[in-house]
This record gives sequence, C-alpha cells and structure tokens, in this order.
Amino acid sequence: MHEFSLATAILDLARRHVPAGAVLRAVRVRAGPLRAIDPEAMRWAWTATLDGQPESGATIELDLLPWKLSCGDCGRTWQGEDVLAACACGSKNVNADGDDDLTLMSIEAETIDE
Amino acid sequence: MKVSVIENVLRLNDEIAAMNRKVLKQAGIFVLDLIGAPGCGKTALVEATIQKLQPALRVGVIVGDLATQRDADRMARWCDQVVQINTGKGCHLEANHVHQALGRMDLSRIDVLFIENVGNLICPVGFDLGQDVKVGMFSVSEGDDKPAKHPYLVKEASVILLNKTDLLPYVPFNSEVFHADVRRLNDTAPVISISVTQGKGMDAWLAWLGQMRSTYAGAQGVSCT
Repeated sequence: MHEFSLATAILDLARRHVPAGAVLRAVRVRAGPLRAIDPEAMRWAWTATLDGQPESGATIELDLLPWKLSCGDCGRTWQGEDVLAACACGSKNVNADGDDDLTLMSIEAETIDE
Repeated sequence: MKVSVIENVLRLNDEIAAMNRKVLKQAGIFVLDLIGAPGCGKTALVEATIQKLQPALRVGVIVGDLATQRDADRMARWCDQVVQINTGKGCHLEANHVHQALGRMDLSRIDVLFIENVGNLICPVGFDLGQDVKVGMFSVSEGDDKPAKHPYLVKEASVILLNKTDLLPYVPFNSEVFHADVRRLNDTAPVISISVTQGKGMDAWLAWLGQMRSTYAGAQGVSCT
C-alpha cells in the first residue's frame, strides 16, 4: 500500500497550490510505470487520506504511463503494462523503458462562500 | 478554478535526501540502502558484514521497523553507532527519518553506513534517502518470481543479493527463472548468491562492497576482507 504515502505527499503538495479562501476539489497526477501504482488502491488511499479533512470528496485523476517496450531481435516497439512481456515474434529479448515520474500536473479549487 | 502545477510530488523528500547525501559525502561515508522483504535476512546480513568489516572499517546502522527496538539491539552488539527508527504505520523510510537519525550519530566514527529499510519490496524503492547505492535483497524461500513481481526494486538496485541458498534443496526455486528475470530488468547489477547463516558468498559481497566504496567514497586501498 505505497499508495497511502503517495496520497499524503500529493495532498501536502496540492494544498500549497490552493489559493487563499478556496478548497481543493480535484488533483491530476502523472506517474511512470516504476511507481507501480494500482489505480483502485490509489483512489481508495486518496479517499481515506481525505477523510475528515476540509478536502473530503476531492477527486484524483491518474495518468499512468505505460512501459515503452522494444524487441532486441525484431526491433518492434510498443507500449504495455507488462514489464516482462514477450514480443509478438516470440522473443523474450525485450527491453523495458520507464521512469519513476510522479508529478502533480494540476489542481482544481473552489472558492468558499463566507 | 483550475491551477496548473507540474511539480514533483516527492520534491520535499528529494531535497532532504540531497542534504543527507551532501553531509554524508563530506564525512566520507559510503551509504547503502538495504531493501528486501521481511525475513529475507537483512539484519543477519548487516550483522555478518559488520563483523567482517570491523575494525578496519567502522560501520554505522540506521534500522527502520514499524515497531520494536529488537534489530537495533542485535546490531548494538557489534557497533556503537546504531539508530532504530520506528515508523509506526509507515511502510518505508523517508529522507527526513534519515536526516533525524544522522543528528543522533557521530559521523566522524563511521566509514560505512547501512540503512536497513522497513521490510517491503515496493514502497522503500521510490523514496531517495541520500544513499550511494540501493541493495536489493531476495531469499530463495520467497520464490523465484519475486523479481518479476517487483520490477522497480530490481531496476533501481546496484546489486541483487539472493540469500538462503543453503535452502535450495528444500524449497521450490528455479534459479534460471530468477536470474533471467533479473537480467531482463537490469543488465548491469551483479547478482550475488549468498547464505548469511552458512557464510557462503560473503567474499563476493564484501568484494563488491569494497569496490563500490572506493568508487563513491574515494577510499584508496582499503581491504574489506
């Protein structure tokens, strides 16, 4: 459940970008495949992290980047979720490229009526 | 209103890690972040390594666990620079944990620092602590499929240790599968088979450690064996 610690870090960073007098309503996060984020677990962790907070109910949108795979034998390149996928040509000599990007892309905030 | 941010979520952690790295580099300390599942033998490896390195090299240990002082008590039998961190519900160490631990240590009395992370193959990998190298540790009793299931650790590790090889006759473990999966994910990190309890493979591990220490800490002509 590394999603919990990531949810906390996302909330901490998002709060710093919410203008005064507004409350966080949504975040959009981009993550590389090395982060191994399970979207269901992430949404659950996010909801649980916000529980009891002023931001409760804010949504999280995830852009999960796939592995960039390339076959060392036939040269084919493709994208996918399986880091150890074999190539369509049958070769297992496949290089998987992907980073540990974890970026808060944007937030949405709503002004609170006094 | 929508606000564009585009900022690294772990920026704060990374900044503290950079501070740790600078302090440790200035002190000439070689730092290893030891990552592996609970029970794979991390504490036993550190204990055995301390006994081989000392007194030629002085070892410090930061050990992370959810609870208890037991690992620190084990280490304290072998060296005096030991700090236990209890993360409570946290499943990994973060740079700030290490920063606080360093404040409780005498860095002038350490040549090699082990950071034994919380037993976990996923979460610790993504948090920079200020280490020089990450050590990925597996054991044969966990099964041969663990590298394939935990690609982040395998890709990030500078060395892969396979422990408890003395149990190979008794557990289902296909060494070819294990090694092939590691190689597909990381074609540079050496894979060292060891049995800490039997003392097997320790020479190769210590040779690697000494070589890396020379590279990172600039040590000259110090033997680790």
